[in-house]
Amino acid sequence: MRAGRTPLGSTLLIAMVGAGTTWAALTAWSDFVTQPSDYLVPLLLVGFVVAATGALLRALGTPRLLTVLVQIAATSALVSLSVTGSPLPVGSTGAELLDALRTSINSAQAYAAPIGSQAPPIWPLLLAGGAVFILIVDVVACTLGRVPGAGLALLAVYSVPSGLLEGAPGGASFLAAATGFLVLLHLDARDELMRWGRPLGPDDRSPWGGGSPVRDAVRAGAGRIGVTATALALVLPAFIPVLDVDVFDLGAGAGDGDIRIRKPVTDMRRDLERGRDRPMVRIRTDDPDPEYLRISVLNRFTGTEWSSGDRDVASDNVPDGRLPDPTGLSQDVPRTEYSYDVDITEQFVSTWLPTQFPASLVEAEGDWRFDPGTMDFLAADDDLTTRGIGYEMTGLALDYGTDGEFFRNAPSGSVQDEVLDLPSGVPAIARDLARSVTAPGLNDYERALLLQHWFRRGGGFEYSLERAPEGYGNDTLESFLSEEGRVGYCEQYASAMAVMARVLGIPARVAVGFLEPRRIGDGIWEYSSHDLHAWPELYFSGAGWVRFEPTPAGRVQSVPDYSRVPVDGIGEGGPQDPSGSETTDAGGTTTPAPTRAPTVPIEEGQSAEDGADGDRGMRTVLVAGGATVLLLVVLATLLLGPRAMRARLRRTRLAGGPDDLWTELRATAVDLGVPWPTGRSPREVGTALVNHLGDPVASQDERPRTGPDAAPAAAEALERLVVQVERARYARPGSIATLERLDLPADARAVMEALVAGVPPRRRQRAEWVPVSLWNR
Amino acid sequence: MEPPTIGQSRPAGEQGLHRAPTTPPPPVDAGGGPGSADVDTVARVADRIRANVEKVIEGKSDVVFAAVVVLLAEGHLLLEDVPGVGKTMLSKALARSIDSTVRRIQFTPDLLPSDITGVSVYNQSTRQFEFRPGGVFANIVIGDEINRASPKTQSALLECMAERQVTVDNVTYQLESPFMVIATQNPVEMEGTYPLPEAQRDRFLARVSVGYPVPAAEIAMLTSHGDVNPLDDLEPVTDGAEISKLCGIVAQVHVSEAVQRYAVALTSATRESPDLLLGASPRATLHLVRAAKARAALHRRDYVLPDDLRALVQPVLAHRMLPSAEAAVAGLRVATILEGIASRVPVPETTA
Repeated sequence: MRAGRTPLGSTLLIAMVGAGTTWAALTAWSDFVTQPSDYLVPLLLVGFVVAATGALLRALGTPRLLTVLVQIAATSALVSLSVTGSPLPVGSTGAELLDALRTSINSAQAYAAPIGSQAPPIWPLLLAGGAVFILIVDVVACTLGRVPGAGLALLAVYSVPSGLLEGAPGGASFLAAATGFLVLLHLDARDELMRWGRPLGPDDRSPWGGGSPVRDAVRAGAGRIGVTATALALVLPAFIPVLDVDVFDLGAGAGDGDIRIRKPVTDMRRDLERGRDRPMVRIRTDDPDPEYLRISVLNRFTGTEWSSGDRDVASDNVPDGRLPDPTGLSQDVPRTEYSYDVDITEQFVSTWLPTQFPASLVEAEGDWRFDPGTMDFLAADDDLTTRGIGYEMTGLALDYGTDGEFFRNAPSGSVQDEVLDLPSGVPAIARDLARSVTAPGLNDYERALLLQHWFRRGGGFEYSLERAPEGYGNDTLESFLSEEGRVGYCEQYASAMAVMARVLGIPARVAVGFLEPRRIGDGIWEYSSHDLHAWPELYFSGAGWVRFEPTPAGRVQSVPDYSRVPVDGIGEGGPQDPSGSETTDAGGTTTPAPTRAPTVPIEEGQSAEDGADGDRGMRTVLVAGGATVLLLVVLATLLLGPRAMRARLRRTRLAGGPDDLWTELRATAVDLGVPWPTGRSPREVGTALVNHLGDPVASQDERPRTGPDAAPAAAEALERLVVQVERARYARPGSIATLERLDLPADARAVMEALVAGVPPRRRQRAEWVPVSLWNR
Repeated sequence: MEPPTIGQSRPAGEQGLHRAPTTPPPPVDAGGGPGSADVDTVARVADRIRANVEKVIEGKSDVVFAAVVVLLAEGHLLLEDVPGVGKTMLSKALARSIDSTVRRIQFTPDLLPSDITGVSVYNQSTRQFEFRPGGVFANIVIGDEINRASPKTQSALLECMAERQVTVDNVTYQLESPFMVIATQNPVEMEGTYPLPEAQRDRFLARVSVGYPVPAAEIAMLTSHGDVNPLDDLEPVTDGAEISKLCGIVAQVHVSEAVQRYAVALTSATRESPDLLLGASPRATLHLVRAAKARAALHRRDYVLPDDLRALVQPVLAHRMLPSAEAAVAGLRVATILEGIASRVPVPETTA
């Protein structure tokens, strides 16, 4: 079946419903990002444009291939416009587009969903993918007329998040898409039926004027079946324990509610970028100033990432009571024990148990195992997470003093070699800087202090989550440490300091956990998702593993007391008096600051969000504006182009011979929708045509009178024309040269005018503005 | 079975476009082919003949037109219809309108081939065999009830019709020119008849059916045929020599390459049609184009239109076709099949 001309109304309706359905299905992807409007708004436009162009072209009877090509072109232009700001994806813009897509893919691989505004954006990928799906659905359902086949594409849309996200996509998008698909099926079936003609009987209301398709569908009984099927699809999985489809998970959890710590660092960044701050851990403690809560330790640096390495989790290393003394901690260090009663919220899902470090006692239900080297607690059971559990522990608050007396010993052999391992390819700048920055230091402790100071003050570093580079591997490290870089967030600081410490021969590792909690009641504190943090831990014999804080004041106000020791050389790197400023900082945090410290990151996060929102708003406006302009240009071309082309063709042909006149006459007939018998002789065509001639004078009627009697002059002109065409085609060549003086173009014009007069005014207008003969030859 | 008619019958919507015979196209002067004066002559003489014949056969102008087309195309005409509708009258009137020799052969089961071709008899006075010409030695031969004769007698006509000559005792005798066989046959009374074999049918340029007259024509016939044989009053309007000349003019009518292709496309389509066991022979193509030339000349055109071919498809081709077994079982008539084919074959659009 050739792609015949279809009524604009029906094809537009189906196309719009199809695009809307796809769009609704695409909202299932919103869990991939924190800002779904990034891709959903442009996709709305893409859907509209694809549906409109497709419907228009199909209504004009454009060949299918051409229709699809035009749609692809329009879609590419829109995607390109949204991503790069230029509608033509060629040259540098094309490269930019490809680059954006590549970045999106990398980002999608590097970060866990949902990906926030601070990570390299993945919305170009979602936009391009969504546009492809919208195109596919339109092509399958409308251009090819295979509506059921479009269901596969919709299923594919829906299966993307089902396969990638932990939770199933929301039921709302499923419901919307399913409804849209059912309406689509119904419309298609109705079109199919209407090809048989209108039903007889008194109820001959116009099929397109009969109200909403949804109502039709419901009335037709298909609604009942569809509603039942959709409802069953939503409800049944809840009762089938094996299939964890979970589309009804609409409640409090709802996709982005869960905070998961499985891969500690990447998860941390995602959680920090999350728009909403969520409470994660609540503690009740007698500690007047609870500090960092450690989740896990990363002690292996591979050059591309920090990982937790090989863990020795013997089955007897379970948190059922006292823990062994922390490695390397001298008994001389004064210590205070504080008890903690920990409650983890439903939204914090981690396979690592957050604990104080160092701790002397942890008692938790479940098969948690600790590694005696790192003293972090790992779930040995696959299904075991922290979600909603409660446990007790006793933390050790160590008082190293500020004179550094416990740090003066050389590292002993009591740590694993791994914490000193550096992969090949650590950038030279890291080694050089490590040495130059710590040159004044007399021992490892002073070098560590110098490093910390350099990061926080001397090096000109800036804390920024949104501008932070991706990852913390060698490449990132190099750019992070270079003069132009020096922007990052805790991940980079912790990693860089740990690496540089290793360069200096100080055992170092990266810890991931929570920054300071917020006080919410008497002795009750709460860690929330924005408190997630990473920091380096350095090992000193006698002091054990000690926390340092290289992340600048933009994020962390205070540093540990023991790291505030004045060292020669501090202050040379920075303009301020080091001790003074540090003391000022310390002054702010020596007293418990239950509200201030934790709110800082939150405010930061919000302001970052606001800025991003503003940018995004601008971009949306730009995209919308550009798209509107493009749409207008396309519309103008579509509106005026064919008319101009047709007029030029007409002029050319009217200046030609009888055959050209005949071609023009045929084009006119095709434009007007007057049947033109194909493959018939001029005489037969003329016989058929003469019945469609109308009187140009009295042609204002809705249904003009036609036939040879209505326009006798035109009928005669047509006859002359036919004879001349016959003569031109079939007579002996040479007899044409002596044609009598006939004004054939005038005859042709008369016939064309009569033809125009013979059709209803609406068809005349269509012929004028949408000359089908340009497509259908 | 109602064989189609030829010529001027046309659908109702065609008035105004088929006025060609009455509103001649503007004169065209061209070298090579027949000038408009020539085709005018053809049309004028043909009009005279038709008018003359229609004095006898009322209300059958299309059949008369067909007969004239066949005459000018130098073909032979097969009239097929039930008895009493004027087959013989038509052929006689046509023959009498032309001042030429006319022979009528009544085909009977005991008719011998030699009755048609002629026979050599021994002349005792000269002591030599001398040839006594048979029935075909005339300008116009009327074979009445041709399907009543035995096949061998029927086939005696084969050579005469195709090659316009008779061979008896190794001596070949040329027939007169113009030479036209008008055969009539009765499709109903099949008992005791020998249907014409395909080879024989292929030699007739056209087959037309006279059909019953319309009531008004029948009433007029009652008046005119009441007392006197109208044939008696019929005067010749032309002669054999002029007909020969006209045939020469008709043969010169231009057939453009496009029309030739169309003719071949039409006949090829009958050969490829699954509904037809036997399609059109190359001779049929030849006949179709020749008849089209005559029709064009009668419409005062010196070039053939695709429409000429299309109008002649039924009379020229139908009697040569054999429907396939499936089509016969399905009750498809050859005329219907042919109409379908003709409406499917596209007319070449290129300028020749």
